Amino acid sequence: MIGQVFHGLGTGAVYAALALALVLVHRFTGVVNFAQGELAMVSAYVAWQLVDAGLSYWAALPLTMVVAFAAGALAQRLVMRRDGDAALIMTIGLYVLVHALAAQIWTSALRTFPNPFPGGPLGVAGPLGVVAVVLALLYLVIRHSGAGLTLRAVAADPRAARLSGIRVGRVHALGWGLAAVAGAVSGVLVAPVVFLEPGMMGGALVAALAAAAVGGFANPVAAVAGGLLIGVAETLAGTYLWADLRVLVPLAVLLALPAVRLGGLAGVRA
Amino acid sequence: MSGLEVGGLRAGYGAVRVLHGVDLVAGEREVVVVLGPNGAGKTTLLRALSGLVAARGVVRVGGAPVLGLAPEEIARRGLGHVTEERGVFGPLTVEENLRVGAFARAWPRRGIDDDLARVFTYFPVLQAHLRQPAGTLSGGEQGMLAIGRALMGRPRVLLLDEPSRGLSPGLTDRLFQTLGVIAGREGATVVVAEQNARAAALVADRVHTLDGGRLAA
Repeated sequence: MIGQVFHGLGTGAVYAALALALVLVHRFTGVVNFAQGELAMVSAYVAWQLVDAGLSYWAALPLTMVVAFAAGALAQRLVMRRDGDAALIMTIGLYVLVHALAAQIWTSALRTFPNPFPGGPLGVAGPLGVVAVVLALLYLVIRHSGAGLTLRAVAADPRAARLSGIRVGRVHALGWGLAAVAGAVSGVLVAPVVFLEPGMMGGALVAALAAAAVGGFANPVAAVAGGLLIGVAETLAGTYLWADLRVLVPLAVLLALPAVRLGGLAGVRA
Repeated sequence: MSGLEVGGLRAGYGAVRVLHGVDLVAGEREVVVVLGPNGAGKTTLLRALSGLVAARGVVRVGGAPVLGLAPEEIARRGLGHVTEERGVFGPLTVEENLRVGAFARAWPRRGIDDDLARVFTYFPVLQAHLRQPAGTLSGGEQGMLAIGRALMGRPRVLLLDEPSRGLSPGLTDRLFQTLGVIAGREGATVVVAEQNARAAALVADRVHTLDGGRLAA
């Protein structure tokens, strides 16, 4: 049982990182980015190519983050030129586009990705540690840098931010870049567990959407907690009930949300 | 040199034309008050100047044409706009709000602390609440914070939309006296849209009335 919980936390770390990415984009640009998982998938491929070229995992990881930041910011600049519902549709278009491009470049062949963490219950500390470090770094950037200040100003009042001379388009690109870094963590963490292929983030995206919803797509801490919770619940349900039940867990969380909100989890602002 | 030059400014919302050719020239250190009742188009005039509302005509800030630019670019060319709603960043602290204002200027990092100190001389109450979220300030304090934030951008032209709104007569008088000091010390052109003629007369170098979409002396 304890072993299964640890295993679930490892899966949950993947969901937590992707949910964090969803929250960052939503909080700073007001849109749910359905392409977040696909951007994470591309990051996993980038990491794989770097490792394949002879780099160690720990050298490939920061390089992948840099590429992910640039790719996220670029995707925002190229595609996100509309507001409201149109923006949401554009993220779905981006999903299709990135997915097709990845299939074209890397084919749909299954590839294996090295696992840098030891097996067994203690191995779960690795993914959790990586998520914690990235969370801390993002917190520092957003809370204590000039760039982070522009992000928070735009989130609070876009019009007043523009009247203060802040170039909102660039700030949105920054938000997408930071979110893509968090997403890349999820891609790189899940790659050793599942095989690398263009559809690898599908399941994680659904779980991450549910996890992000726990914090109303605004609270990063609630999203991370939600991701870990869903990871554990999935593993337990799959092990002790029956395997196919796993996929229903995110749905169950969404259905239970009103109760979760009453519990105050969503009401906390980080 | 004139801080603000406006010529033949026309603007509206869709088919509804609100401004029918506004002309205005205001110099450095000058305080110009635009009077008019609700619905006369005062807010539209200020919004057209800062780029929030599309307009035709000519607008120059410090001699440089700005009409047609995005609001953030106009702000970076030296036009500060304190809106009717104030628009302070509620979750951000007072200090963070003020630091955001510095993004409007050419060298954001230079001299910020000096400028903060100067803003505190105009509005000492802000210094007392430096670490407090701006959303917890009173309405009047939020108005001062919005003006202070605009000043952090070192504007050549400062637009204020009904700064007296929600203030007692005593506070209104004090605010207008401060605006006069600000215009002199900052070397800025200050344009105030007001309904409150009495307060405006305290400090205005000139008073114009907005009527029928045009400015009258």
